[in-house]
Amino acid sequence: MLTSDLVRTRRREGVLHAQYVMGDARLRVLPIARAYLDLYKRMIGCAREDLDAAAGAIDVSSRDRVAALGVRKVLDDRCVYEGPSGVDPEEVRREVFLRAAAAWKGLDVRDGLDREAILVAAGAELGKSPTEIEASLYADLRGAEILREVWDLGAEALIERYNVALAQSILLRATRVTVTVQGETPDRYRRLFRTMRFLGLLYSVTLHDEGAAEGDQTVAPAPATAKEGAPARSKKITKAAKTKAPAKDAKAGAKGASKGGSREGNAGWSPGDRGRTVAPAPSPKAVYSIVIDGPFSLFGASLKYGLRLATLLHAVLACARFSLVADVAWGPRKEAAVFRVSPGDGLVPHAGELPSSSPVLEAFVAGFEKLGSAWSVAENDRIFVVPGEPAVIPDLSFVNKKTGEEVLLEAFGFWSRAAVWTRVEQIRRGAVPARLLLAVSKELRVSSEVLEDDDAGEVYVYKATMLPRAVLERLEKRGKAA
Amino acid sequence: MPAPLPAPVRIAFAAGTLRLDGLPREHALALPAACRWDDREKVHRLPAIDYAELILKLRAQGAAYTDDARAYADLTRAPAVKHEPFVYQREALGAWEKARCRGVVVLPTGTGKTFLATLAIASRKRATLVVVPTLDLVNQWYDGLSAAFGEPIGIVGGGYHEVCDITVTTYDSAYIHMDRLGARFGLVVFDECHHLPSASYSIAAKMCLAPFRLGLSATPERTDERGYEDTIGPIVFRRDITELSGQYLAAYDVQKLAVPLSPEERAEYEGAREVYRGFLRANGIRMGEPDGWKRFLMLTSQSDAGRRAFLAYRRQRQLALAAPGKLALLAKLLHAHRHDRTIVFTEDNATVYQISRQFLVPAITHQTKVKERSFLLAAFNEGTIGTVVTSKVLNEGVNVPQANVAIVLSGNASVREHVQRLGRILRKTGDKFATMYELVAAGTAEEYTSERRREHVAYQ
Repeated sequence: MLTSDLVRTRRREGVLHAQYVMGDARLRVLPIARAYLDLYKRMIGCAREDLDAAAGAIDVSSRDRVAALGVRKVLDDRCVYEGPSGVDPEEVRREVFLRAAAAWKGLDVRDGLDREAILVAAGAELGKSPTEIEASLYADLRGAEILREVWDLGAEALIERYNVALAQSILLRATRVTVTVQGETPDRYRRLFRTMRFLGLLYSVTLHDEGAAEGDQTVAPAPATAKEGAPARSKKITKAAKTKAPAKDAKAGAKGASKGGSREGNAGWSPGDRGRTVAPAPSPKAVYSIVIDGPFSLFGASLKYGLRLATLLHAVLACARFSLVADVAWGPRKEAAVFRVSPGDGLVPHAGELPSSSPVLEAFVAGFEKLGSAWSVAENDRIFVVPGEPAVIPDLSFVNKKTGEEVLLEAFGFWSRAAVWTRVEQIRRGAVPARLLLAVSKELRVSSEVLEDDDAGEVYVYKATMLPRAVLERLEKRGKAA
Repeated sequence: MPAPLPAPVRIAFAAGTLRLDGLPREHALALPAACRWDDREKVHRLPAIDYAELILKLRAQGAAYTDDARAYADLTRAPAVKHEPFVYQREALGAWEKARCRGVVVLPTGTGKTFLATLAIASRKRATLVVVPTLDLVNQWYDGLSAAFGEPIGIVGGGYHEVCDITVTTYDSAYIHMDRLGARFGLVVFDECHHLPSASYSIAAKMCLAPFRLGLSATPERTDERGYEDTIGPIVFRRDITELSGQYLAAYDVQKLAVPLSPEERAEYEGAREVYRGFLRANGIRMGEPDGWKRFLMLTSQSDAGRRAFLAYRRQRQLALAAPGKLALLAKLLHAHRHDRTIVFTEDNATVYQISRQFLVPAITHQTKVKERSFLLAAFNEGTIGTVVTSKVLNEGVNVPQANVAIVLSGNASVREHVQRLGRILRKTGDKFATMYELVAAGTAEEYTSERRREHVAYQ
């Protein structure tokens, strides 16, 4: 990431605009990036301070100077430098300074320090010439480190990295981030939520649009400015969510929005639904607003989570349709500002993500449809959140064409065994959407007996691949039980 | 009487906060004012710092609770006390205990604040975290506490992550790790606690549930006038440098030496300064304003004129800070004090290394590694090394009791920094008399800086 002096932004009416290197600026900076890469490759084996001087001499017009310095910082951070070899500067210093200290003390009133004699004597002790002694005295300072390896990624990729680093450097100053996502795959959603949990961030999720009656919305709604807190839950959502305590929640939501403190945490489903027939799947274009900050944020905006929010950016950029709104405390006076990122910014994700945890389901879905049963199958795109519990994002949704009953399936392929147990515990507590079928690979050594008949979930242990017929059997069984 | 609860409240430490599991949203308990309902997890939550108040309130109301938050141990070993505390140390401890063991003690550098902290740890007998500003101080506290308690001492920071019942860490590491460590300690000692009230560091104090807190500082006043009530406690005891000088500290003398610039240097200085000042005027920048420096840096990167102004700024500063005349005078002073223990202070690291190379005296900067630094300080205290040159690294709390001469070659205008440098050489050993020199380039902007840093009671 960039140091604050290299972060280029413009602020207009409380909104921060990152000055990404794009368009014309990109055309101007590309040759500079190329020049840096060439210079670095040429100067492998040189000292850092010489490299700094040479890089500083590359001609950059004043309008692009800060961008160029930033590009160089992104490059330099990933290059490998090494300290001196063959000499031990610390040993040289000890030899020289102890001798010199003795010499200073021994001086007569009219004497001056004989510098050369000390260097000669120290050199004699260490088998080096006075010149070598003088040269190695501070050879281990940062400026004297030697460039060994250059991160040779090409000028275009370097500028892509720079742009992401610029956005992340602004997010370092974020106190809260609101991400709006829509229509992602279960796998993508799961990675996003796992990343948040991994980073120790807290979130509350609001379902924005659930009714197919609203039409096929393809554009995410304009995100509410995070200054006003999370978007207050609309009447429509309260109604659609069919929770048991909508009045209380709606009141709390209004209160939270006015204070900018607490937020809505429940989306789409609440534990009160347990045992009731779940409504048919909503429109496949469900839009979620996820308000993200940390535990301590409840007591006031804090920059404590800025680094984690910046780290999260990659998981957001990997989404196809998203908008990100960050509350930022900007500048030395930490003035409130808003910073937005959307696919239109053209940022390219590149960091290593948490590995996918989803088994491939296409073959299963095709096989299931061939059975020609009463159940339709579709990829799930909903997020089920119970406050205080890990989010549940099933892979598939089965809907009985006759009764409208829905059963969700979450497949655990090479996911960790611990994750299955987390989900089993959640089901036992009644803290997952009703009728969840956990498809678990035999390799994970989980028995189908772990859940009781009256739990709102069932474990299906499969050997090599999930069998459509075996899943159908369980759907039918549950159908009868209900 | 409050309505009986259906189940006992479970108090859990969660990432720097306390969660009250099992307490319904509507309840009749009186809780600390900061307690909030957290809709994200459907629990009541409060900052960890309110732990003591929470427990006291629950007890007073006879409420049933289980405490799964507290994770700190009782200490079994008493410290080996090397000497009787001084009167003021005993008074300070008493004042702190009277304030429910939450408060700040103000004592000048060199008056045994580490020893006072040892007394406080022995008084509370709780797992203790000591938070300090620099890695130097981590080492020093590590040595002192190891000797006093004879048990392993943990270090978090500077490449270490070992947590023990007594652990030393830095403000930076505390800020990063407190959401995980905040329940492990019953007492926190904030050394040089004037660092704490900044927005980021103070959150570390708030994410820790330690009921007992001790702040130590010689200079508690901050330019932003933030206090300690919300992070440690009130100032409970205070002795200023003049009250302890002579009796507990070495007597001292301050000499200001003006160093004239040569005619060539003078001409170059004036020329560079005119370029720099002209740029400030043209852009309406006032350096006295809080964001003056930042604006200057911003504007200098945006145009070639700005670039020239920046180089001119650096040049005139370099001439004032490391004028050849200063180095010539330094040579004379080093010669005159060749049998003393001298610390040379400069504003910038480049000058440190220049002096180190020229006079063959060891340098200590932020780049000096821990082992070498320890070796140099030990050799300096033993006397095998008579002079060290440093920039800002030795400003705070490093243990160099044998130092008796300070030469300030240049420095910034902060009163605190100046007094701390003075404090370095004032630790009382025998009947030593300390001398401090301040070398100021005559007729430069440095003279004004010098005036500002002398605005302290130590000079009155």
